Amino acid sequence: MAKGAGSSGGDWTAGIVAIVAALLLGSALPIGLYFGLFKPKEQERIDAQQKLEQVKVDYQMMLARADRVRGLEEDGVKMADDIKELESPFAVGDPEKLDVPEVRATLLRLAENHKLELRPERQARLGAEVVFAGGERIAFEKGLQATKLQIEARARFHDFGRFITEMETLENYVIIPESLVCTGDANGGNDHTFIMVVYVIERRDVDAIGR
Amino acid sequence: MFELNLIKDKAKARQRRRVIFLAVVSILFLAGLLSIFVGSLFWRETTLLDTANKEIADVDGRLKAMKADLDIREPAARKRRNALISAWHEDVAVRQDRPYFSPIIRDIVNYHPATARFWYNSVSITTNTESAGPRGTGAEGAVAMSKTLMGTRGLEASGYIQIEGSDILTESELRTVARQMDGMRKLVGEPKFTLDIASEVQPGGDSEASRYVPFTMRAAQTQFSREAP
Repeated sequence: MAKGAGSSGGDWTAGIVAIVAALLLGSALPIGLYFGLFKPKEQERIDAQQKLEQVKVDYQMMLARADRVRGLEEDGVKMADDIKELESPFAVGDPEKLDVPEVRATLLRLAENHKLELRPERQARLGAEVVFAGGERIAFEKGLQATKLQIEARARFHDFGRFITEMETLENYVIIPESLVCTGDANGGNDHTFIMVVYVIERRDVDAIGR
Repeated sequence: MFELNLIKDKAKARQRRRVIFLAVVSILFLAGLLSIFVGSLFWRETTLLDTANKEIADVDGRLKAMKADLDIREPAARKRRNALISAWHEDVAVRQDRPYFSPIIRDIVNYHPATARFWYNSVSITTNTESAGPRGTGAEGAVAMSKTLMGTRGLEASGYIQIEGSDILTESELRTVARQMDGMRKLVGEPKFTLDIASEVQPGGDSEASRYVPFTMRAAQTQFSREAP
């Protein structure tokens, strides 16, 4: 009887060992998969999603920057239109001839209206005029260009004064005097000599500004 | 009796083996099921990761393209806008500050000493527009050195004044005249009259009668009051 019971206990022991071994081996597989494959992949996915969020934030910031740049460009277009309107009275120069023919013609008419005459020493010259191109084009520091005109005349002081006043307030052109030398009539008469240099402001190439 | 016991033992052993076999198979089956479940979780994570990576690559690509575009456009737009603003201010200054010389001419005509006759022999107004900046460039090669639009201006005039009273009174009157010349004060600064008493001319040699005294009028080269910004 005791032998039979001992034999029976020994059989259960082997069985229990087999069950425990099956338990250990069986649980090792899912646990190994969970920690060996799933967890690293999950961490990788979390990292990727965080990176995606960051990239989306960066993209939103870039869209905001694009809006700012568009605003700057629109400001530029508006400023260019304003400048074109503001510069509409500025002359269109002839850089080849260093002349502003329209303005010169206007000043010649003005000179005639105010009885400005040629200086005696210029009267003998062929084609001499009271207003003539100074042969120089000036580039100002901030981008404006101007063409120089010279006015040499003999006139009464008041007539020349009226000529200057009208010239400086012309609506169609912007003319800025650079120098004026007025010499009184040596014979005590009323006709004095005037030598004046002016520059005529020209329209800019607005599309080229700041490019 | 012995045989019967032996038969019973064999039956018990079979029963035991069956239980053990079923237990082991059940454990392995459950382990398999769990492994499949973990595998499905892993597959889901893999799919999500792929989707996220594709989205990152897409957004990142657009971001880089936009950045490259804006890195070129933004400085250009800023530079152009600033240059246009500067040009606009310059244009406004050119227009609003006109006229430049006629107020001076008007002052010369309008203001004289009350007790003396007055003649100008010469009047010279100059503008120093030269700048230390770089030379302008132009295809025609005749562009002058870069100039400041609102250069410093100066005036120098000379003439004769017929003094009938005292020199002190005349000089006082000239100072009053200088103060009245608003246009001149704005454009070239307050003029200063200087009488050259030593060179006076006395018609007929009568020192009690009127005397013709040469004078000069100067206004220092001053910066124009509203320089372009």
